[in-house]
Amino acid sequence: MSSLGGLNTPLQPKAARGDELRRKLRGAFQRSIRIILSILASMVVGSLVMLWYKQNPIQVYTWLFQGAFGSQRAIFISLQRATPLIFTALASMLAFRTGVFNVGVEGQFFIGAIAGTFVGYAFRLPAIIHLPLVLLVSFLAGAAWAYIPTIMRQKLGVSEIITTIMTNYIATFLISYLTNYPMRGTPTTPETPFIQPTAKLAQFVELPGGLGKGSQAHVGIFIAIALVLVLWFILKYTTIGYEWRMAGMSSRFSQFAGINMDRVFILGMLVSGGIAGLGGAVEIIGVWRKYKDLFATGFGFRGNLAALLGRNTVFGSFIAALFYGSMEAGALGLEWSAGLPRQLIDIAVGLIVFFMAAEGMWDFVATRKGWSLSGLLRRSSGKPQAQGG
Amino acid sequence: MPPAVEMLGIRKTFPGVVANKDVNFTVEKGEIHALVGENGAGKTTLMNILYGLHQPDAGTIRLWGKPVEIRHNADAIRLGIGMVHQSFKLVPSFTVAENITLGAEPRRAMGLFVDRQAVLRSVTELSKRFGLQVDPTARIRDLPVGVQQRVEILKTLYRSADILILDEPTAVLTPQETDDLFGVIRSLVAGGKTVIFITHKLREVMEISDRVTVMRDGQVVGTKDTKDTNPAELARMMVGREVLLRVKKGEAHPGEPVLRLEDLRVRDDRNLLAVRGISLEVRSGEILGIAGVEGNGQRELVESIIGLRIPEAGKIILNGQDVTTRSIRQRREQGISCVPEDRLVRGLALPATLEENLIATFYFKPPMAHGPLLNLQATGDFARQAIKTFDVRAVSKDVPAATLSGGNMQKVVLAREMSANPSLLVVAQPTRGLDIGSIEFVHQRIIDARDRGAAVLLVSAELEEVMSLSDRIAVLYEGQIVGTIDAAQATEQGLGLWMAGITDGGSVSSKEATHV
Amino acid sequence: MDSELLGRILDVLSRYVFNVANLQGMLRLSTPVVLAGLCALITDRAGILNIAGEGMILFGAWFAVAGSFFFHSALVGVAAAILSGLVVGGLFALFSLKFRAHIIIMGIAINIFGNAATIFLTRAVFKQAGAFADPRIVGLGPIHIPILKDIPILGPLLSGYTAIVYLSWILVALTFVFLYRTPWGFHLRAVGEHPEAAATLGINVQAIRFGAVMASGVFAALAGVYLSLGHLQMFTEQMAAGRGFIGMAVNTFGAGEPVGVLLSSFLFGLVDTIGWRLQGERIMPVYFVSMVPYITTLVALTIYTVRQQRRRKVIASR
Repeated sequence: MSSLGGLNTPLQPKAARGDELRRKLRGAFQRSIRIILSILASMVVGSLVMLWYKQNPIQVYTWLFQGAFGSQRAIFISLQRATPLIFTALASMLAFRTGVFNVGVEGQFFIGAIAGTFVGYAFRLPAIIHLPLVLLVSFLAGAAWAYIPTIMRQKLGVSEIITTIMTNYIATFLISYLTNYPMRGTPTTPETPFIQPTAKLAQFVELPGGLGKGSQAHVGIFIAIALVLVLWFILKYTTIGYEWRMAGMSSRFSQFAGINMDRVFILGMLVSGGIAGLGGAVEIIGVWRKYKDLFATGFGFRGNLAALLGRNTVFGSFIAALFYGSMEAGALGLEWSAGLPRQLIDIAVGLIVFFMAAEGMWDFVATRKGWSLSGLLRRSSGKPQAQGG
Repeated sequence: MPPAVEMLGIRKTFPGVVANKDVNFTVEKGEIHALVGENGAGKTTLMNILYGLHQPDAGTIRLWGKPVEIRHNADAIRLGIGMVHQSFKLVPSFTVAENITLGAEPRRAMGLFVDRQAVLRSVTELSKRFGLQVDPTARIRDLPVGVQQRVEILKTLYRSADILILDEPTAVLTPQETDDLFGVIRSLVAGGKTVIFITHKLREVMEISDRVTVMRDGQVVGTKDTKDTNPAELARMMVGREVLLRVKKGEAHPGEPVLRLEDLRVRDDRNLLAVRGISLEVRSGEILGIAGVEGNGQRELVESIIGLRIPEAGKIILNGQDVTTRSIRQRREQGISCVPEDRLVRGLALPATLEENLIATFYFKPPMAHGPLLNLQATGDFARQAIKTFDVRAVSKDVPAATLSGGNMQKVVLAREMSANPSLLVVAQPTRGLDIGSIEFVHQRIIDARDRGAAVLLVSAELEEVMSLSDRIAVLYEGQIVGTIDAAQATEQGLGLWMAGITDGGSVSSKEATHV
Repeated sequence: MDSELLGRILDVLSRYVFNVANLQGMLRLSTPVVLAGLCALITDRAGILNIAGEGMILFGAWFAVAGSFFFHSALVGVAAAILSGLVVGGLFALFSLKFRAHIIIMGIAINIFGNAATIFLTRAVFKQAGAFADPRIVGLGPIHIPILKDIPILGPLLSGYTAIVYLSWILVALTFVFLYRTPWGFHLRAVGEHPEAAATLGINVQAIRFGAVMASGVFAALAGVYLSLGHLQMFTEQMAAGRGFIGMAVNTFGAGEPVGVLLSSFLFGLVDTIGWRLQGERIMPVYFVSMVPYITTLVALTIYTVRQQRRRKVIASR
């Protein structure tokens, strides 16, 4: 009979390998189709809004494109807007991959920013020490801010969704307090003093060559890109990366194999928070050079969306963040030309995610695959929860 | 008088397995008809079809002589069929009365409100009419299992069921509760109901049923009047099959004990004691087979050995070390490997690649990793080698495990667990759902492990498998070992009887209270 | 206990707790939390993980202002808000129940969407950025209950609130009646606790879940109405300020019971009010006061789960 004699059977012959390749391509093809359809659906809705504004959608999309890519200045603005999103997207992606919904990226981002700012203005150090110190402290601060919800989840079983959101609000008010009182740099406005020149990240305009005129794009983008590569490396080539991936794909299997789930989750969240914090500091020392209270919001949530758009992969999140950033750049221009509020972009991207996530919608005819974000396991809380149809 | 139920030519296939193969099943009015068979024989599937939870691929159903279409279980309920499942479908926070009337609540005030008085009244009246004592105001979660079952029966009676299907009703009952249940069944039948009783406990079949149908591998083996048969014959009908596979097996050369369990007690998810005092030993170079019908504590036993469950009492000793409370990784490092019963959830990460699945228990050690860095060359080589050695039919090591067939999935699990060269290999239900070729392969590997000096603990509900592989056999019934015997001296009938709870000299069930 | 300490304790209690002004603040500040809590409750009891409360509140708040502004009627505003709650709830249900989108992602998307869309609409429709306030917005006036208002102590405590406050209490009572006295309430609870039991008895599980989500949309919308019409008459960006999530916490702390939600919300409202009082008396800087609801949530969840911990079974993981 069969397998006893088949101990040395080679892997499938070429024909079958070709089949497998075709199947893989078809899968990737189907996914790309879905993304494109989602974008188109979102654009249709967007067009309706534009028509309501009595604008020509084609004209508006052209302006959008021009605002994002139409000139050297535009491209640099896109890069600048994308930089913080890369950090928050990576932070979200890492957490989601591990199976944890870290929606506290927003708070971790700003806590890292304020901590980095403090180190930036409070100390005088040679640049070679100062800059890395700022980055290190911001990373640790973001990680520390992520620690509370993590511990509550691992040791107490409290859903990280509520707790991380709570820490976002607490962070907002804490920072408002800090910029109004202890860290206040000017008598009239709630903002910190300027950081020391040694803690700055150079903007491209400031560099010889004068690139990127009219934008505030800065070399932080390189840090972001470096981070992309580092994360990719970690996930692919290290033991902890392996543990993170497996935990996200099947926590029950990972547990059975002996992986220490507590350690994996906690470490994952800490690094996620750290990356977010790092992104916050980079944004300050690259663009603003001081922390002004409530200077902006939404980095965290946009990062969440970008990670979801990028299907929770390192490069996907990177591309999605670039895409999102360039859309924002385009939208800024739109406000001037067409009077369309820039929130339209958030709505559009939100819609894309909406449509992409709605598996059932695309499965009207085709066979079901059920690959919806496979590996995102929720923490069970005892009561059965509905997940879908 | 036409039979109450006629199921003719029923065929039902699930992916990969034919659950019912041309089944003919008839139940007369007013009888207690037992439906017996091992796990996977197809009895529950057949009854689920009758109850409308599944649609048959072929065949007809007649009730009281008239053909019927049962598309939903609502149809079945309407036609007067009621089913009490093995796992109760009761809402824990509701009272008895609320559960019974759920979905068909008496109403008042133009249908806006539930008439709570009527709810109580109808349940009290129902309970009195059929002699089923319940407190209608008690909450289900506070009630012992026996009473909960009575509630499930009342649920069917509230909807005027004339045909009651009970699926393994005594699986969760104490002997006392079982006697109470039998009294209830008899009085229901005296009142004109018909009862179909699914069980694997032959003692009960003899005690309560009028006729018995035996199923095996999706087919009906035979139907007999209970008074014309005996447990031994039924056991033979249940388990006897052509012996297809006899693995080539050399002599065992057992050495020192590797695993020792001392009076192990383990609770299950419902907080009942599933393992109720097991002591056993497995020596290196031998295969100890644990036979028994599923649900007698096997799962909890295996989980406590591998570390997924902490025992309530007792000790687990591996190579002289007490590992009772050690972590899973520590146990694995000490030399335990496990092929779990739940292949798809525990044994594999389905979305992960074969390579990722294969290295999961030693990815952190050289040569797979040096410090924190993975050596992808080494892991790739290992994966390729393992796939070759274990004859895994897959296109490459990088496909997701979910794309594999059941047999190949199990080979991956085996490859991983055996590559650790364990001193104790625990295998649970290793060939469930596999094709003949894969079964052979798995069996051979288990023998290989033994021959290389491992102690093997084989837990299987397939009696034939246990008999052909094991050197020694122990039978698990209701959380205890009811008998141990050398494989050479074991017989199917003898083991079958032990598995059904019958030892020489009467019932072996000496249950302590399982409710704390 | 010596009398000075006792006196000090009584003094603190009477200033901060048993104090009509503070209790009034408690009742007011707790109202949106009560409604957000009911939003979480109704879906929780149906077995659905609903984190979209925040977005639904924002939609409700915005449409309330819009309706009131354009039709010069607070009632129309309320109706518009309720309608928006049904629509958003309906879409949420459609995408996550029927189209099988991951329910947490849907929740996150609705929250982000709610924020972005309401900001966008404020700029697009009202041509304002940040906040929209206009004397033409008709708010809900205070209701003075005859006879009751003249009773000392109880009068000012129970009379004079806007309609939404009273509505929230009525809804708590109605929710209780619905859950425990009507057939659909029974069905909903069954679906939440043991969907199989419900399904095998012929209950349409999907329909119940749909209904629960849409109802939660309405509750959230009413919370939004309170925020934009019931207190001040304006819409501010992000004015839900996390109440959607605080509502979830209140539901947990209240053990999924309407009365529990009410009492937990009162607790929140009281702590919040005391915080503002402390800020007014310059004992605590305003920013820390603002943190109070969120810290309270964390503490409440911790206490609650620690108590639940006792029953947990432990798997070897160390």
